[in-house]
Amino acid sequence: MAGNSWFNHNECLQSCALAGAAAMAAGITDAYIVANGPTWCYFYAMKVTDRPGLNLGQRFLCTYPSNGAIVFGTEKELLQTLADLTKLPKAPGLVLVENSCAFSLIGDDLSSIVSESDLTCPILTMDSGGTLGDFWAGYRKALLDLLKLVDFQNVEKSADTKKNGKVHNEECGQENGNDRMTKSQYTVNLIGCSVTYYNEIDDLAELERLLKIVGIDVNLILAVNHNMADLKCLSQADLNVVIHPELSHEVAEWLLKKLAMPYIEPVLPYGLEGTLTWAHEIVTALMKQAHAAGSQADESDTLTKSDDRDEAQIEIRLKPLTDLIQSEKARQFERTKEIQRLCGEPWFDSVLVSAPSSVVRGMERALNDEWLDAGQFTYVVHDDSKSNPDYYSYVQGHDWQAALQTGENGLLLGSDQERRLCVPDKHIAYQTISNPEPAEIVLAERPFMGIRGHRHMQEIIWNLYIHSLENG
Amino acid sequence: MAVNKRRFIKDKVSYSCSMPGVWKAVAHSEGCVVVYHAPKACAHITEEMERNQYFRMLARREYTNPPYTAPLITSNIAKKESIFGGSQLLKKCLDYVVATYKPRYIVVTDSCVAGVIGDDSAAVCQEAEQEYGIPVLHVDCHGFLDGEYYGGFISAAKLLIDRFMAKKELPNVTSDQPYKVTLIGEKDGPGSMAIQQFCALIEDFGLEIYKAFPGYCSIEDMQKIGESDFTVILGGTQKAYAYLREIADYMNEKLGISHFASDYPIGWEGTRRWLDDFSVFLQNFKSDAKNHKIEIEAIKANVWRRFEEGFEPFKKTLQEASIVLSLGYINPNYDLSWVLEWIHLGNLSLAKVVILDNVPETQQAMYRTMVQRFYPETTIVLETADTVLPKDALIITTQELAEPFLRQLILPCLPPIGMAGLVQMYRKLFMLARRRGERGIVLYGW
Repeated sequence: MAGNSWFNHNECLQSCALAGAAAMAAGITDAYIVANGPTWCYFYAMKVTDRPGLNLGQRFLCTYPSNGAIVFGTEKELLQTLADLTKLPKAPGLVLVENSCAFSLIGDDLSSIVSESDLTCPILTMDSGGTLGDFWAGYRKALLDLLKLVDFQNVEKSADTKKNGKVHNEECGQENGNDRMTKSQYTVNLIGCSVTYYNEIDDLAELERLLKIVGIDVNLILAVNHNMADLKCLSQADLNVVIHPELSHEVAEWLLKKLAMPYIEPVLPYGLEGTLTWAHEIVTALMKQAHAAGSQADESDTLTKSDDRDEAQIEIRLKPLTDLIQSEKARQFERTKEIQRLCGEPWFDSVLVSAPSSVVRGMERALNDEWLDAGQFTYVVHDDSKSNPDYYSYVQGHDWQAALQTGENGLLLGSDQERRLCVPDKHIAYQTISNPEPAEIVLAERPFMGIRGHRHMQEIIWNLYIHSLENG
Repeated sequence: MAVNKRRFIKDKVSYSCSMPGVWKAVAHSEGCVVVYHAPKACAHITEEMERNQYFRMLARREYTNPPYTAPLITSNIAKKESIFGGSQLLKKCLDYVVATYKPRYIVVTDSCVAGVIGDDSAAVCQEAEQEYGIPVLHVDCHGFLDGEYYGGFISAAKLLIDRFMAKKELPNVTSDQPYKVTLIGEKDGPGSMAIQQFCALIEDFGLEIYKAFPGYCSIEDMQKIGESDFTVILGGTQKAYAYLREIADYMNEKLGISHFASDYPIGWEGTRRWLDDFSVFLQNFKSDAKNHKIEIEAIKANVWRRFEEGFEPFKKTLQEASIVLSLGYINPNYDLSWVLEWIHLGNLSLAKVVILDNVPETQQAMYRTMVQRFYPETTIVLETADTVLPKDALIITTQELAEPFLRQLILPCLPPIGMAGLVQMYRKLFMLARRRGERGIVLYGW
């Protein structure tokens, strides 16, 4: 499958680190982003990151350097832009200043320049752009560098007391420990999420809902619709659940080392069984952790006894979710059987799934186990994840063009770039699951993950199949 | 600020990127492959540009599948090359391109990164050309470091002229053969209303378009351009016009093909001027060897008649509407006079003009002069903290406003061509007027 590393960009888009870093900061509501680079690089990064409700039109700026700045540096333009930010009615919580690739090369000392500004908030500086890497590299670096700026010191002390059930941190707006023990007991952070990922906000809402059902509160969804001050609360959670490892595996590792926060990277919860497995993994991890803490307190408790007790507790905790899933299965059977009698079960000769690796992994499991029978499945990941050797990858230069050569009666779950290559000349059913998205409007909340997501995906697949019968 | 502007662009000068300009010059030239000596993501900028144009064209129902689209490859410069140089990588990339696409010719241009590193891409291209025996053209631009978008466009066009065009010794023209007119420039492709409008104006003189250079020319087409009688420049902004004129001048110098140079036909005044100038040009051209009889007033009347017919379906509704013009900061190169003329030509009532708070004083004064020429009675106000734009008016604005309940028509970055362009704008305004209830709408004028 390995091939060259060059390809026709008419067939594949590769956003750069400038956009990735901006996408991270875009999720922090009081962060401002300053692109220190050419206007067109800025416009393109803006286009990649801007989503409804983010207000990036006001929060994402450019220093508009002249081409002479490549010789004389950007100090003047940068300080002028930062001076504009000091005039805002409400001070920023964070400013991310990111160099484009050309300005990364000329050696401007960004951190020294920004230290001359009158801004009082943290200013995160980084070289980014295409020479640093792709979208994901930019996101990861920006997030990691951001966390290194946060003073977790005081909050860490609170975290220590949490285990004794006495947590009360007004700054973070947390409930006190006793309340938490009785209501939900556990909290997790969801990390590795991006407000710019396709359908992310709807999916995260569904994940929060699922966790609530099994008695787990979400402490913080990192870099998604929170402000800078909220970052300090990150260490308050019992566990970090990585949503998209391609965005934050390194961050999870760093948090483990720095704050002793354990993490797991469960496959994303697409499909009903996938949802249950996901929740099971999280509850199990939390229980094991609690058990480990308990073992320290009572060393006479044997490991076997603890395991049995944990498994029983896990089942109890998951019971409401299991019940919901069972009733959803019955509901779906009832609602599809009439059409099934008429049209048969959905079938496509070939299915192509193309998205970031975490999404592909999750969807692969759901497609194989629950969603659809098909002659052949092909998976193309947009990032450089090496999660599965059978996946094609845009970044690794694999020969993915061949993978896109789907025949008739195919289904494409992907982005606009695959749609434009696969769909126009053939009868290919299509659903967007990743960026870049085609011109489409989505007004209703429509997760793809979790129980509600399963419902939507089944509805989509069924209807695409039925339409394919008429149009094929 | 009272009016919530969606985006405040503090644009002093554009400083765009030359690479998409190079791409655009040869994007639909059969057998061409374009290589950016650049990081991967630089191609993204071009792709975004193409994608936006694609949807704009679809929405205007003007999209036609291009006969050919050149593959766009990046050499994928990364950090390593910024230290050790990227020439070898470019050569390998060209090897791949030749082996994979079997191109008829390759166009290579540099990114700003390659410019900063100082790679000798021209030498690499020369070496590849000798090795493979196909033209490998190096466009000497470096992303945003020099030239900008049109810099890339004209540099590529000049190279194409040098490599593929030859001066033709033509026999004496006879009066029964029409002039061969070549268009210079590119505006949304041959199916676009802008190009169609240009062609219509030229056809009003009984002429036909021979070729359109450079965007859609194959090597064979380019080889025939030397047979053109003259060229006509498709403009845009003043800046674009100046750049395109450089191509026409170069063609004149190299091939002896003269060109018709006039301001872009914008609005009725601009169109009349363009028609007059073209008429004079034709009469003087080679002392009018074909002895054209030009009825210029009849041509103008014809253009005006088409305008009136086009405007008629929207006239009553628009003349009853209340219009507010919201003027924000714009690039000083962009002249908005056509907007006032357009509103005035339709005999529409301009209720108020609001100058937004991001407009510098010099531009404010210019706006006032412009408005007073056509609408001396209309109130002009500066935006203050209390400014509220009326929901029931049709707002024509230079920049998108964030209020959700306004009916906004965003003025296009490039003025619409000719009178058909004005009719198209009336149609958009009509669509705003037909918006019922308290539903906001943002319509873009392009």
